[in-house]
Amino acid sequence: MKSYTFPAFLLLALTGLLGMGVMKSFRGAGRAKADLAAEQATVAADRRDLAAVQRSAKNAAQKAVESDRFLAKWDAELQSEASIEDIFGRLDTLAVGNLLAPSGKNFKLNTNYFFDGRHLPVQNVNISVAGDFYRTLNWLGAAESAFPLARVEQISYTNAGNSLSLAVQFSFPRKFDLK
Amino acid sequence: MIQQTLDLALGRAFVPDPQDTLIPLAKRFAKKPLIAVTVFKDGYEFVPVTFAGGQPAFGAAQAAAPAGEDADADALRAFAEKHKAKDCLINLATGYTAVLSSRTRRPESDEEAILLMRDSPERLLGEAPAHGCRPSIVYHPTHNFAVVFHHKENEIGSAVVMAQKAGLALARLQCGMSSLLGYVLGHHWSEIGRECELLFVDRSSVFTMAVAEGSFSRPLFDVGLKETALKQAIVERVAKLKRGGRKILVNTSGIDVAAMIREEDPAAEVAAPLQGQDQPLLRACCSDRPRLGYDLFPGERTVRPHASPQLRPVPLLFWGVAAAFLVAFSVNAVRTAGFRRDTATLRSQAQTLEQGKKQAEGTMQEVAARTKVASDIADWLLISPMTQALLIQINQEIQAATEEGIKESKPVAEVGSLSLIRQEGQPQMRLSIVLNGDSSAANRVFQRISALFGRLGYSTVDLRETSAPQGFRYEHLVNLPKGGVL
Repeated sequence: MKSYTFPAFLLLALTGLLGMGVMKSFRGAGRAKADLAAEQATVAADRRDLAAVQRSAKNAAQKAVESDRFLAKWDAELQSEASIEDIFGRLDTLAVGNLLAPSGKNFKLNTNYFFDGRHLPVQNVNISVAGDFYRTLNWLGAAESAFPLARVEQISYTNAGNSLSLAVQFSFPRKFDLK
Repeated sequence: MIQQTLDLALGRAFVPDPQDTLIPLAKRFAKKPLIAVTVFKDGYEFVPVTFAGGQPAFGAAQAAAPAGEDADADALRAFAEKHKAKDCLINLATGYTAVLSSRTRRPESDEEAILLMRDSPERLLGEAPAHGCRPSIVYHPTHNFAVVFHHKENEIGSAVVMAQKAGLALARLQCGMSSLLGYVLGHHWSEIGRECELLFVDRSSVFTMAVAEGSFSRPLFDVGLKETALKQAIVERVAKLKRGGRKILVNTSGIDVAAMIREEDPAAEVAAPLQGQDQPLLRACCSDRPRLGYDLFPGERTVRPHASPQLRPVPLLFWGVAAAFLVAFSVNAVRTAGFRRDTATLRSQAQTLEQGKKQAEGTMQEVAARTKVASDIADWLLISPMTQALLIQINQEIQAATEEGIKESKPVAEVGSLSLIRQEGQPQMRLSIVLNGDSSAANRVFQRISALFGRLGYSTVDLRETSAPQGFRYEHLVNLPKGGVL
């Protein structure tokens, strides 16, 4: 009996370890099961969220039809007013067509144009034309029609004897997607 | 320690080691064959022994004459192989002497008796054993007397060597006559009564001793006798038996000793308690009741310890829990793998759903961005009304003021310069006009222009009038009509 006292305790200790192993095994399986349940809950919640977001996206897309139509209409105009050379060329052409002499052409990029509570980059284009008053009016109207997105920022008529000159500054928007 | 733990776990510890003298022979060889070797002066007798229900059963004996150490061992090996035995019991039927002793001490346990008889027999004998001999002791059942048998160590050694050469392990080595005396005293004490004479005869020796309730007489013995000498010795011993007393006879010699006793003493009461049983001396050697059999083997055997049956639950519990562990581990491994696989699938689904959600959110953001851009463009267009129309109207008012002055024959003013400047970030516009002429003419023109602004919905914020080199400068800061956006 005495010869096997320590081996018996050793076996009992091993038995205890194996028992702990059994419990650990069940705990591990329980954790995996809990993870699975949590993941199932997550997937269910994600499905609900996705459905809600998809509904919202669909509604938004439906509501954006008018905006898209509006953008499609103005997209070509935005493209055509993108090149400063084209702008000056068309302004010159219009001036010559109205028997006016264009001069003082220059441009400057203003990145901090303040608009509707935020800053917007615009291309400031300055041009002067000299000639008859009514022809300058026609030219101005023609320019505003040719460049519907251009904003007349300032105009200045100066009458010096027989010479009438009109200095105009246009602002061409460069980006509309500022945050 | 590791070996013992393994033995305990595998259950080997509960199977007695065949060499463990502290375990009864019947337990050690309950499932194994054993060969009993009786060593006579003029030969050997081999007997196969099996145990059934704790009792020995003997097979057919085979006698062998001495033929040299190796030949004897070969014969024993062949006999053992025939009976598939690997262990033997040796019964010494020769080479002993017996004396009466009152100095012996009774051991406190069978274990102590065996260990002390092996290692320090003097502690039980009360004196040093005879030189070159090993002792065995048979105690009086009730009184402090004992018969001490001495066995020659060289004969013990020869028997041990023969067993070793035969490749057999020695399970027990005893003196047959000593064992028989102990067996009769232990099992048939009630038949002895108040007084009795014991007469033990085997094929080469005779042993007699008187036993009373409280004493032993001096033992008498003749050992190593041929058949004729044995007969002569029996006659002499029978003649010396007390007349009319009770005799207990154990006779394996083949000589009708009982008849000889009755012839000598017709009134003698002869009891033969072991009559009808074969091999009474070997039976005594195989018996471990009432006391565990002694062992004359001089060396210390290396044996596997025997575990108590109380420890049986330990390996059962161990293997039970081990089996439960294996089952639980396997089952839970499969379950865990399944759960993890399903979890991975769900995670993949969750990622897909998340991507779909992000895609939908991206679509929403894109739509919102497009809507914002459209709104911005619309706002931009709203704050960019046609300037030409305003200039035409201003020009008409200037012309009307001029015509009004001419009609009323009043001085008229001439426009020196005119500018319209939008105020960045404010819903305002500044009109600056220089009118050359006198004060009333200039004022008339400007009043008409102010009236025009009022009709168009502009409201005045600031109005300044300053003199210019040839007239007056009017600076008019106005708010744009409501609805306009900068």
